[in-house]
Amino acid sequence: MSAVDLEHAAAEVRRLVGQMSPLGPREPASEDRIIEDLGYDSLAIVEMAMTLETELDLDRIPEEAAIDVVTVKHLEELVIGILRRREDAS
Amino acid sequence: MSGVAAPAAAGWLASLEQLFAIPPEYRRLDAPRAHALEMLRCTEATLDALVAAGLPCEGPPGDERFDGNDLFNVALYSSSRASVPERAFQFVLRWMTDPSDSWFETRRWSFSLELTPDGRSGGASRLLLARPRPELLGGRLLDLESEPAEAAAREGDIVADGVDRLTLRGRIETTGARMALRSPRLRDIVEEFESTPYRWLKLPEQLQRQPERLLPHGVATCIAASLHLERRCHDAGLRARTRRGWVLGMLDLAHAWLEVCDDDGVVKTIDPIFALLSSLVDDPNPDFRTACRGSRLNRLLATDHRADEPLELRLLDGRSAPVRRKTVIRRDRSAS
Repeated sequence: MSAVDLEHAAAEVRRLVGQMSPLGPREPASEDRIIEDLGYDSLAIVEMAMTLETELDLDRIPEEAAIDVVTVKHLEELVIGILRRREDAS
Repeated sequence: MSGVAAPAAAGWLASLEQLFAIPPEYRRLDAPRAHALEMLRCTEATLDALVAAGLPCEGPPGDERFDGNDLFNVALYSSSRASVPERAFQFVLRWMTDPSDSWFETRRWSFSLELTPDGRSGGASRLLLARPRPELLGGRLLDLESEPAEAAAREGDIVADGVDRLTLRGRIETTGARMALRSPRLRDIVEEFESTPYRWLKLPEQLQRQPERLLPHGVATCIAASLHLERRCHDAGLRARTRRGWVLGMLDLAHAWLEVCDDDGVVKTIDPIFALLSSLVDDPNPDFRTACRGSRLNRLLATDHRADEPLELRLLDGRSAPVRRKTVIRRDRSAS
């Protein structure tokens, strides 16, 4: 998976996180905190994680990994990690 | 109800047909139609079909108000795979599909809990939160602090008087243990319960404390089931008690279970509702149901409270008042 593909995936994560923000659609930065800055609560994070799975055609995001997500950057890294593992396995 | 909507509504109507509606004395018709559509993620026509088929509500057509628990329950069993309850449970209970070793390993968690008034504040106010007691299930409390600071300093419940906010932050370690039931009497009681096709529903706590009103309808919640099983164990001469706590994970799910002193003198955890909930997840680990019969799981955070006691409480001028809880739970990966 090329660096361009990975950057595209990260951009998609930012787009979806911003689009689903309970505070209203916005363009989040990677450093933004999901709960404190973007207004997500636990249920909204669950919904967002499942949307990422569908929209980015991901294997399932482990619930435990979602617990650890604090910033948008963490979520980008989580998604990129899943994509990399999928490529390594193929 | 239009002919076009009928096929899409079939799963919803089947779910409604089996719904144990919130009894009138506990019903709160305060969820507007927009909220219903948001939770159910169904079409307007499907919601109209549910109303026409008897989903409890009040208000004129197109501007109805519903009970939030009824909405949650009808959605959970709708088989739509799109509603918020279905999607949330599918995600937060995924750990029930994981390899069984993951349920018993030692883990560290950090948490913060915040209680604030839901509605009118002022007056002589008291906020109360059950004290987390991870040591009761083999874990330990690593640190705990509250705001106001004196609230957590005392033994027992975390209590703050005259404030509009109580915050509790801490780190805990939990662990699990594989155990099996020895007592034939105990095994019989658990198997009898498990052989009944109960359905879990989201219900007001006061109603959950009346198992005799729920179990005959095929409805079981963690509070009702543990109270019922406690009674059955006492009748059989077994030492047993219910316990309340939280499920550690994405959502701050309050929970209750039964603890029984088995024939080997070891206290075993009986959690038939966890077993029941695992059926709501795709591909649950088949060992999970067995683990709910005696084993200790690292996902439970215990308190001293019994199943029929609340985990949090707000008193206003001496009377119970609505309280809002905000919880953040994370894995703690910092060094010991």
